[in-house]
Amino acid sequence: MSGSPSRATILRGEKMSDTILGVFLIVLAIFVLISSSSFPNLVVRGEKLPGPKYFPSLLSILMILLGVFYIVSSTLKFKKREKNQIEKSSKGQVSPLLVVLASSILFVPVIQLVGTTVGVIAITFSMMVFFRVKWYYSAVVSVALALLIRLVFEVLFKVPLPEGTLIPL
Amino acid sequence: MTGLSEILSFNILLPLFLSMAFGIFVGAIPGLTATMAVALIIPITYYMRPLAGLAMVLGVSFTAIFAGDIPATFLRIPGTPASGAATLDGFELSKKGKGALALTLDLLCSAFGGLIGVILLILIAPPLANFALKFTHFEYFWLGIFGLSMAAVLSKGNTIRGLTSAILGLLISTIGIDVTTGYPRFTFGVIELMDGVSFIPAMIGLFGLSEVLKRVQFGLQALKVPAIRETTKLRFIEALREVWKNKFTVLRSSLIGTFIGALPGAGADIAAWVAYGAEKNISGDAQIGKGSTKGVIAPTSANNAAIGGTWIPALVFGVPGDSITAIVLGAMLMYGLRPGPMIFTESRQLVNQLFIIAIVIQLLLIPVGWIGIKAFSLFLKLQTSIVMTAVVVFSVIGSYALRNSFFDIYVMIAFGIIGYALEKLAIPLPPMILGLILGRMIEDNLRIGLIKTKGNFLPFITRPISLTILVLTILVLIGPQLFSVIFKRKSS
Repeated sequence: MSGSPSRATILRGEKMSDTILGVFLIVLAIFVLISSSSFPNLVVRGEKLPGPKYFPSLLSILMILLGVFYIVSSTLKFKKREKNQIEKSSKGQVSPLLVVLASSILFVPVIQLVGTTVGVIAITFSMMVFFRVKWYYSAVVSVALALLIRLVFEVLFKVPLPEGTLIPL
Repeated sequence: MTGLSEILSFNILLPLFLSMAFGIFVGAIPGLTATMAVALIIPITYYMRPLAGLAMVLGVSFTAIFAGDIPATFLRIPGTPASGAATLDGFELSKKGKGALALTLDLLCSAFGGLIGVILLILIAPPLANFALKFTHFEYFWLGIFGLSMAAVLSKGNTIRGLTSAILGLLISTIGIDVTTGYPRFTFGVIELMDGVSFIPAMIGLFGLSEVLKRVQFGLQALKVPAIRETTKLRFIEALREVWKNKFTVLRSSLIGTFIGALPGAGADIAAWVAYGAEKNISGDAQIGKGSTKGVIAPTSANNAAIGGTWIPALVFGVPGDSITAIVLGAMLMYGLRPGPMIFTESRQLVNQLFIIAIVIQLLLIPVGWIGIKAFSLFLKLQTSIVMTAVVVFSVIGSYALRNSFFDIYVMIAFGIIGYALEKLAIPLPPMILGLILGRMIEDNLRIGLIKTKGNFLPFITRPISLTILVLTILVLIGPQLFSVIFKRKSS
């Protein structure tokens, strides 16, 4: 640790996050309003009743109000929040995060190709090796995990796990 | 007496014990719900006598709800939806090295809460169920809003951010086919979204994957330590003292849990959130949400008490209190039993035996739960990197297993990223989950109510029960601020 961020830096970061949140809510609300404008009206015997767009539109209005609130509050005033509520993410590394995300996303095509057992072994082994767990330990744990999953889901609960096109396991 | 000796026989106690072990196992695995556990055990009980079969069903449901709190405390992944509220303070206590205390409290309060729920079921079943039947669309709408207002109060020190999260959850709940008109909303041609966003993968993503992402962002060095660094020796004496100190919290939360459970459609998950919010408001404990024992006691007492509550309308009127009792009603019909007022006269002995079994389960829950905690904690002694890898695998497979759907895996990943991003923006996640659960209920009841009244909102606020819930909601939202202003004036 090369020293904690200054109070001004923290407040700047918080103001920025409030502005981002406010803009995000307004953009989302506008998107919802535009999308829901194509929803049909509910008309019964000539009387217009709350239809499919009623509730999303109501939520959009609330989101716009909240978005404006966040933007205005971040512009007008500094918030008195404690330092420890701000997460110091700047020290974090991006690569392990990307590895976890990539592994999760890759799970589907890998198990579709080589089946659940081999897929789980391959993905978990790769993840643990990346996390600098010793390779032989990673191998044992990944095989154990794959067997545990097969035992729990397929043998005990009769939940059919996906089989691979290359390896039907 | 013959009824009691039959219950205490090997033929009942052994299947009961095995079903409880099964409940612990399923409940502790994220992605496998208590409902799933009950559904899976029904075929096994098919060839048994009704008493043994129903004893197994009861055993599974009570233990699975408790077991969901184990990964909630250690990993911030609720094993079942009913453990959502227990993740907050349980996990915070775990981070402070008090995970063992949290779990012991959880175990004891689940047993006490369950016991109170069962006693209430026995004592006040008919009048309470009768009251719940008075609820119409207007009351159910406010009940949902009341639940959401609780969620906003639960947010760590910021009601506005809690409301933001709840509204986002409500918005996500609108995805899928509109029940009233059959029109697909925000599905963008994706068939898998027609039924709406699947709740379980969303919850696994928000609480499971996002937690993994949070942990790995601080680099590889942080992953080398064990997932839990404390001993998991259960601290019964300390926990019993804590329970005694908070006896009114246990009682209050159990009463809330039973009442909410008795309302059809509102199960153990909502009961836990409402009890948690009520405790935060009533006790004024600023530590709730940051690792308070009250924050563990309230939801864990309520969620197990709610199971007793769900049986009230199920037994008395044949109306299921939640998805578990809906399956149980099906099982009772399978056994040739007809749930409803007549069951108390036609099968009175069986009903009484079920009540006794429910009490026995609460006593057995402590040793069975203890074994479950021990088994799960062994797994968590491993390096954080290994545990996190296992969490990713179980999150993926657990999301898939519920509907055998690859799409649900992507839903889980999407919600993992959403959860991670929202926490970066200091938006609490629990209100979003509650918004997602209550969304359909709130929207349907609001719209059906308005259709009935031809757009007139007045009946929503003029009916006595509606008005009472509305006043309670306002009190929940502005009560803490109002009380603090009054106390400040008094002290100055």
